[in-house]
Amino acid sequence: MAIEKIQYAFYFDQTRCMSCNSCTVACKDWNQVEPGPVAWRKQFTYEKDGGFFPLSMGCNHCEEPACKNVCPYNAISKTDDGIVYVNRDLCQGALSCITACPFAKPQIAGDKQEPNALESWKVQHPMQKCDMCKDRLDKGEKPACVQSCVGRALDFGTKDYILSTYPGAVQLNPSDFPYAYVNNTNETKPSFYVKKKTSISITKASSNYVK
Amino acid sequence: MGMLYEMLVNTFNSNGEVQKSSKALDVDYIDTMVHGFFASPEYWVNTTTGEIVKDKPVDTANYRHIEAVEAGKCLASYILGGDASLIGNPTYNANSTNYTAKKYHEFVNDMPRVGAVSWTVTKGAETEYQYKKDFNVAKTPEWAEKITGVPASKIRELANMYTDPEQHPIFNEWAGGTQKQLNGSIQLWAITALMAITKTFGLSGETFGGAWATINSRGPVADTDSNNYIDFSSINVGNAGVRSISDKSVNSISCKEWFNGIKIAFKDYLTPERGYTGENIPDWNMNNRYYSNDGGVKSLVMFEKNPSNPDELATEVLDGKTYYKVKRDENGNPIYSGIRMILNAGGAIMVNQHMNSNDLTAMYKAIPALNSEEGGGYTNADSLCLVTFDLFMSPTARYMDYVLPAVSQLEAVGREAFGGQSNSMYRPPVVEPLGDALDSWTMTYKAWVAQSQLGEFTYEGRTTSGIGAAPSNYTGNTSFKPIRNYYDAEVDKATANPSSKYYGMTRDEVYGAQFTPAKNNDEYICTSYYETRGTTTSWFRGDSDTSEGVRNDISKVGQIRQNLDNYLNGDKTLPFVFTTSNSVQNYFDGTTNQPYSLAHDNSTRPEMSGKFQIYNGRVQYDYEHAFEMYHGWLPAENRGQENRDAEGDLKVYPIPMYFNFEDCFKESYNGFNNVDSATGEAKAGKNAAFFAGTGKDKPLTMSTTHDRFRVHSTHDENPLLRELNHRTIGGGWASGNDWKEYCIVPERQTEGSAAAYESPMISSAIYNKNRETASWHEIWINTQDAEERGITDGMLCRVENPIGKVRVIARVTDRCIPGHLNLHQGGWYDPNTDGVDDGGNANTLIASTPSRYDHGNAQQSAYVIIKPEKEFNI
Repeated sequence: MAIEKIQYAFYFDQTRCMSCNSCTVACKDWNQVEPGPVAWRKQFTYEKDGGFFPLSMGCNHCEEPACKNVCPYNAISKTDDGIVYVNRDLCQGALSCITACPFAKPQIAGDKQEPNALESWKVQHPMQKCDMCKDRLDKGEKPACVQSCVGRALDFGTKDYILSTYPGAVQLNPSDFPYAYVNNTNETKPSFYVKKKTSISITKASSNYVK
Repeated sequence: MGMLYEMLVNTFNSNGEVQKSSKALDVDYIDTMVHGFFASPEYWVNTTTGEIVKDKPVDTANYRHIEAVEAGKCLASYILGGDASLIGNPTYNANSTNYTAKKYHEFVNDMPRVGAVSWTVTKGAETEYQYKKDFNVAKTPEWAEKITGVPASKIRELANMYTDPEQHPIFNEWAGGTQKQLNGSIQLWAITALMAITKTFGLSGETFGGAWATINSRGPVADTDSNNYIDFSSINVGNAGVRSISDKSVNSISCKEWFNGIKIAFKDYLTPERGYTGENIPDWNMNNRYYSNDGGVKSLVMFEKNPSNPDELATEVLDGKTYYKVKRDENGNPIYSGIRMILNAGGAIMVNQHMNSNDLTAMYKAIPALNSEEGGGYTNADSLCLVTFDLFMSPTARYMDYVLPAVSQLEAVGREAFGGQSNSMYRPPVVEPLGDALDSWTMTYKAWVAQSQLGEFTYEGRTTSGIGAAPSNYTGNTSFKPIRNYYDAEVDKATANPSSKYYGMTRDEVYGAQFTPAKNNDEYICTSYYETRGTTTSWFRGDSDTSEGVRNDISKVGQIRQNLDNYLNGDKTLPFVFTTSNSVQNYFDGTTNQPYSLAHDNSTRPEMSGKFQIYNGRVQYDYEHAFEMYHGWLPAENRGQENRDAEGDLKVYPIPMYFNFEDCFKESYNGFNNVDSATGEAKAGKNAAFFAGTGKDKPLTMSTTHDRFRVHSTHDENPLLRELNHRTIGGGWASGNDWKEYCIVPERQTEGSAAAYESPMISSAIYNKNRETASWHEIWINTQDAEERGITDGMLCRVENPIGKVRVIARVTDRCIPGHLNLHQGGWYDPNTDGVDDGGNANTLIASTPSRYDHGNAQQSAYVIIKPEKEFNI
């Protein structure tokens, strides 16, 4: 009998995030991503229509990952847990994943950030991205970003767990979260569920303000 | 002020009759408990019965004299711009419904509550101060909107919330940021006044909290169940410090004036010949020994001891007043003690974390270094000795004589108290310290051992326990044990004690299971009322002139409120008497905290009324006479603290006012006209042009809030955190080009350089000469302001004022209000060879001018010009 596959997913509560970037830093620390522009997870705050909207996002481990399908070297796979995993040894720098991903999460470091290539790598800087802290999951721990979230805005678990625990959360989609789709709006079924912040307008300063 | 205006106009009708509504103030309450919001006559109060009489009693033993509040000097008059008709010219009259108001009417028939503003403005309409021009302007919500940018409708909404009993309790927490503004303590006074006037005190959860230099700082909820705590009381710990032997011949002052204390001690070295020009203090007078006429700093000379009692100072009478007798050298000059040694146990205070980093470093450079021939070496107690604990070799460490290796938070023993608890929680170190790093308690213990070996425990018949605020278990203990061993022993005791709630737990389980504060359900229990240095009340423990009274116990404030509510629900024909449930305390006997050595004769010092002091003559009196007893070395007119501004009017008033921000910056930056004493002609101050800028040259206010990504300046050079608020030119948010480089001092450091800014760039992220990849700290600017100045998101900008200059990258956002910039505090001071600070240290832009009234730090306030950086070519 075939083992039933599961799909792990992230949850993010937009109303609880205070933009501290603990997730960003904890991710870099745990996964040994050196300081520099590449970050597997980043927290941004988007300003839109007079409101501001935090979003902490890494790879969304899509059910239909656009990156996986375009890789000519089969470096990207989908595990039985639903993790979209890159085998950096197989990457030959085609960069097709980078343009395919709607969220620009596959990334390539520069020499300063990644000075020492591994012998097993075929290129100096193979693609890298979030692997859901596979090593932590194996030990029964949650990913570093979730564990470090000061505002308890992040959670992690199977898709079933996320949907049953947070019934109000919506799957990441271009109409609710246009700012997340930086490359394209391909439908990839992201494993990322968000509790939406309803628009809270910044109090626009009065036009009477003395300048 | 705008909120109080809204409340006032809702309280009286056009005939001055009191209206009752949720938007109105409770006038009976104000008459009973608030002094100086409205005018009041001079009176005498019986300290036991609370009865008030108009004339001085024959026997004044049980009476206190309470000063009059003129109709033109009460706070309500200031708020109404002196126009009492806005509220129907209200009076204390025959229809008044409470004891106090009836008595005032009896003393002065139909006494007006409010009158035309009567503060003196020497130059009249010619005054340069906006706040004085505003004396006769009503402080309406619209007036406040123009200053704050907060819409008038929002101010009205808030005002209605404060008066509405249904909206209470109201809790204002953490005043530290407000307090560190240029007029910080005055603003806190205004906020406490707002809360007092709106009856916002004494209910559970209702308080105003978090100001520094308060006493009895406690949160609103206390857990009284001692079983929720492990008793760590035997481990009496505080800040690290080695206790010196106080021989009383020098005075000690507020730590906030430490830089001024160095100036008075080493003034003779602060000369242009030695490279010190005072250029970063625009109103610094090179002939002066001290700055800002601070009474404390002026007390830093040596004094003669009383020959018959070495615990006292000798005194002398000068001009009919008694002063401490100043010790003089053979030429008859006073001996300046000043501040000659600083042990900085945490933070980066001495350069980075204190206002005016440019001036501080210029000062250090001009004073002989301790270990130089000129400085006399470490055995010369008269030289300047600066010691700091540092973890990252911050800019502060670069100027110190000794740098001790500090431990990080995770390497240190943690002891924290939460929620107003007097008991503490304990957190063991998470990782072992590296290298020679020691926690401050261990360092203190080692210092004590050294002191012991040097025999420095006695001096002129005095002894010291050696360690200040160190674990009591260390004192006298020559066999060293780390502090955590003492804590672990207490934890082990609890886990072995069957009656403890920690019984049977492992240590780790205990660390994770320590208490959280309890909730209480009593509406009136244990609240507090904070303020700065007794501006508003005299209710606190230890404040009483007489004895430690029940009313002075802050935890009883709730009981006073309960009785007050009962009183106000009654007929109010008798005086309100301060009582508590288990005792009676009738005295109207308050005094303010810390009556530091004023003049010898304080008979004219105004008494405290026992009510909330919205008008407090003692504030003004104490300001004017602070430390006066120590000022015998100065000419008579320089003793005490001068309470005169540039136009000869008051600087500190007995009511909390709004001082226009531009007025304050003009004072700090030398922007007012100065009258030449020889010719009598007014000349524009040297930085008057700065204030005249319009359009893109118009200055903007700037504040310096905490960054989310570091604590003050700690971790500014941690690359993983630095990249969060650094940006490359044109790069997106968090585009900082950091790699794993911590504060590397480049080769450019030149030893012994005499250049004004010889400091090399310590941030390798900036030292990178390639402008495309170098990164700078970001500053927040409003979209509208950015557009006017041709600034786009990600543009390299220069921010400057007469104090200093910094280079930063603009973050254009509507989350910053128009007219204002926000530069997070804590960027490391990193002046380039062109004198511009590339580290984005906010303190480079902050004047040395202390805050009005309390002479505290004013690090949250600057006025600056921001423009695209065109000259950067280093």
